[in-house]
Amino acid sequence: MHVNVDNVSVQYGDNVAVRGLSLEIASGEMVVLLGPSGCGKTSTMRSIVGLETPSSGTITIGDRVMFDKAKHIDVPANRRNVGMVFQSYAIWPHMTVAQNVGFPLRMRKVPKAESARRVADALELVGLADFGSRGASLLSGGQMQRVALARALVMRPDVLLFDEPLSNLDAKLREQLRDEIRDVQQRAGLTAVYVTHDQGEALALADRVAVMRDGVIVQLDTPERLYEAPRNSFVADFLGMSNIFHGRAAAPAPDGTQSISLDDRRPDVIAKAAAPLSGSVSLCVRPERLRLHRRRPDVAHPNVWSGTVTSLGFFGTHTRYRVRAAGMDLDVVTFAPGADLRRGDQVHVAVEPCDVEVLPEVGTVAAETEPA
Amino acid sequence: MSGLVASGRSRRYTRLLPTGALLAVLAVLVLLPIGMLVYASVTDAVPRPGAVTGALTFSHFSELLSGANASAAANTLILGLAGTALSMAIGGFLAWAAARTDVPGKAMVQLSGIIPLFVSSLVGAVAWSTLASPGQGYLNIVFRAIGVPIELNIYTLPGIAFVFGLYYAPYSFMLIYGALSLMNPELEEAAKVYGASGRRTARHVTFPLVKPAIAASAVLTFGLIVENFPVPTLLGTPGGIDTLPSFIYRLMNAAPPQSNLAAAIGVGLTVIVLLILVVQRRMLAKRRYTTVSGKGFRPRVIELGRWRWAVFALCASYITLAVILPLAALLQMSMRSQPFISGVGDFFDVSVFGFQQFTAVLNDSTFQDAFRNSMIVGLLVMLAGGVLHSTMAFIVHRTRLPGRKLVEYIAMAPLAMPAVVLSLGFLWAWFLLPVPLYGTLLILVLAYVVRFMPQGYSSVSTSLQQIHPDLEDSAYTSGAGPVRSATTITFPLIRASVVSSALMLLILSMRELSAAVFLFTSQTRVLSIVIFDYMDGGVFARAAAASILYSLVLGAIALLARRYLGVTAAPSRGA
Ligand SMILES: Nc1ncnc2c1ncn2[C@@H]1O[C@H](COP(=O)(O)OP(=O)(O)OP(=O)(O)O)[C@@H](O)[C@H]1O
Ligand SMILES: [Mg+2]
Repeated sequence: MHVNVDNVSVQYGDNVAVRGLSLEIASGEMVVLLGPSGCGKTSTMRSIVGLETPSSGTITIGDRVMFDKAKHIDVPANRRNVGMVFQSYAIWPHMTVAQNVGFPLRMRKVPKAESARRVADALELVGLADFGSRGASLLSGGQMQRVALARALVMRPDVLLFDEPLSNLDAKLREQLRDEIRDVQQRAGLTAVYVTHDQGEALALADRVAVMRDGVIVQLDTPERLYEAPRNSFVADFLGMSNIFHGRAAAPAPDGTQSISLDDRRPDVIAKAAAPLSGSVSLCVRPERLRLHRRRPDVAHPNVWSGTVTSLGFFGTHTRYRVRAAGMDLDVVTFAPGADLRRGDQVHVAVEPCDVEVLPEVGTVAAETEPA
Repeated sequence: MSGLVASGRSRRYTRLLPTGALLAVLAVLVLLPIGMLVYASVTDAVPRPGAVTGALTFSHFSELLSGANASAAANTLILGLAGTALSMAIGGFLAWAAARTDVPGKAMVQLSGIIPLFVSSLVGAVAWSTLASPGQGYLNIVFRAIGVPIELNIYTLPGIAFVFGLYYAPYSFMLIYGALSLMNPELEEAAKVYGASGRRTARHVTFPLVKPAIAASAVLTFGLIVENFPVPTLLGTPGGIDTLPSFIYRLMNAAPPQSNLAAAIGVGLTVIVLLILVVQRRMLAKRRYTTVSGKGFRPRVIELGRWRWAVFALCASYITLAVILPLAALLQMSMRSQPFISGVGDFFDVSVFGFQQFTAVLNDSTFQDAFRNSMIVGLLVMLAGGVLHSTMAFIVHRTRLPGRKLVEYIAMAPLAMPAVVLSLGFLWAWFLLPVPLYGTLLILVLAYVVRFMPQGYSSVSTSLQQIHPDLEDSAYTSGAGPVRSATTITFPLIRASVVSSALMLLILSMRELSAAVFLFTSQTRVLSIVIFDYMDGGVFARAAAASILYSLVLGAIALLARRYLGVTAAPSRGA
């Protein structure tokens, strides 16, 4: 079901956790909230489910207004029909698995027989068909996670929220459950919001990702767009992009190139951006866009630096090098096998000006807000 | 595994040494008194110095459920149940208010759940006999003056149960408060999200989750009330109400003392407490789930709205009844040079106020000696108990020495022994042993060390168990020997908890009366005994003055210890 969060702020005393956040989620869409600790992800989600009372704004689910500060509407959590998978799973230890999953139906006074059938279906869906009569305090982390998911699905929620549901699990299980969650969500056509601060998880799960910082959304885009065109250095940094440097951009020349002087007197980098910026900027070069040469390339090339390989690792499909060149530590990825470089080898690093991305520096909070 | 494990095969015999020595000490301290008690209960002669005689008989046990015994047993049961119910209601309510509501003065409410712990039940009994004895009880005087047609009488079963309820409430408070405030709030939030109203959340989630704490505190409180000696003795005697502990005391003080029957009752009482402990173990083993969350979440607070001040008033009236009113009454009683009060106005007649009683008490050489004795005993228990209990905990949790399981069992055994019974067992045990300890302060020290062994041992154990053996093992692999690992890693890490458990021993020893009742002589009275004697001898004003001084001493120690104990700094959970 379509969700509309409009200009919502959440405040704890003097501490503003969410600042006038707006977010539209289409029916059947999965939006991932991504951001560093304390940026307001959980607070946003708790406002949607009704566990937190925002200090301003409106929240609409389908065509039901769930919260409207101005009109004093605040539908309590138990009447919103929003499901939530908590970070701690919140499996009740004094009940069996089936009682846990059946709880939402019991509260809605669903007849026994139907309830039993739906519980069985939900457990089947998450792969716990034989676990119904187990005590819930004896489950492993992964099993609890599945029970939490089954409990959320069984009530057929209008919206399903996930608050870092995988953060307590080991890496392998995480990937498996992540894919299962995505699968279930798409098959059931559920509208979902998923919170994480793991960028890999965000990119793998989302229809759209909202990158948050200090209570606002910095960028809201599809994973591909986000990765291709981060809006500023914060987003790039948070998505785990390497080779980000700060500098000052000079005014662009008539051919569109501009030189960017890095801090602490390293050589200028020449960039050629579609929409040039000037002043204080960040520049970002993708590791796979850097080229390594044993000998200095003979063509006149604006960005060539000589350096030393400080470490390297082979990853099957690619090789990752760390090169110290011209005072920068650069990450370089090559897909060509047999480059046959060793630690300590002298190399030349080159990059095309059009592969140097120029991003605005992270400035004040207000300047970063996603335009409505 | 821990460092000491690695001892070689050749050192087999030396490995037996530490536990062997420890077990020998424990046998004398713990097992011998129990043995003597059982022995006395099945023979027809009184144990006397240096000799164990008498013929085997089970007649004392057949007397157990007849006549005065039966009514003492019935009273014990009634008071146990009623006192437990009342203290749980009070403690549970305070815990709920402090942990889950926006009651005004939350910190004060929290404190009021704990402070009565530092007023010993002995002082509570003294104070309440001043407040609510029939006729001249201060509250009765006030009631008459304002025309309330109620005559309180504390010397009745309901009266005694009331005093128990007041002074044992902190135990339920602490356990239930812990469960409520540490519970992962997401468990309740989930219930709400999945469709439960506030009331249904409480019924289906919150209550079932605190039930183990409620049950545990019920069992604990019942056990403590059943073995309490000063309250039923001081408040029951005027009305002819005996419980098993006070009855044992009377049998021993009768002429001639009926020691064997007392021993039999002691064994019976021990069995009762033992059964309670077994039930408690069972319950704990069956239902223990961790509901504690890793993240520092804030539990949900219930907004009381217009009930805020009503709830506050209830909390305040508890602290008034348990602490403020009793201390005020003791002060009034001890300051008056003229005990008779004809009306409310006399309470405020300053012309009769003075410090005579305090000077009298302070100049009383009995009191002075008792003060000195109490301090000596307390400090020695702190030292001896600290060393013994920590050693036991260390051997059980940090070594693989043979016999350590046995050490653990013995450490917990005194839990089943009511203090009065322990006192009796000690008396006879040290009659038998060729060491003339009876009549010295040392026998009190040893009795207290045994009495508080379960607390001392488990508090050090808990902190030892929280230290991962890897920490020691890494010292071990870094080249430190087992002893160096222990001294450089383990001891520094548990120092705080050893200190806090030793301080707890000091407070408990200063408070203790029951374990001393058969062990003191005129030379070795302690403060609690002196107050008890003042009461017994009918010098109430002096008892009141002594009680106040005694409470001041206890309070001062508690205040000093607070930094280490962290009891009053109950966790306030913020972001
Ligand atoms: N109940 C509360 N009372 C006071 N401050 C709070 C409360 N809940 C959250 N905060 C504060 O609001 C801010 C946002 O918190 P929130 O839990 O929404 O962050 P988050 O993005 O979910 O972080 P994390 O990734 O660590 O879970 C933080 O600064 C946090 O300290
Ligand atoms: Mg969070």
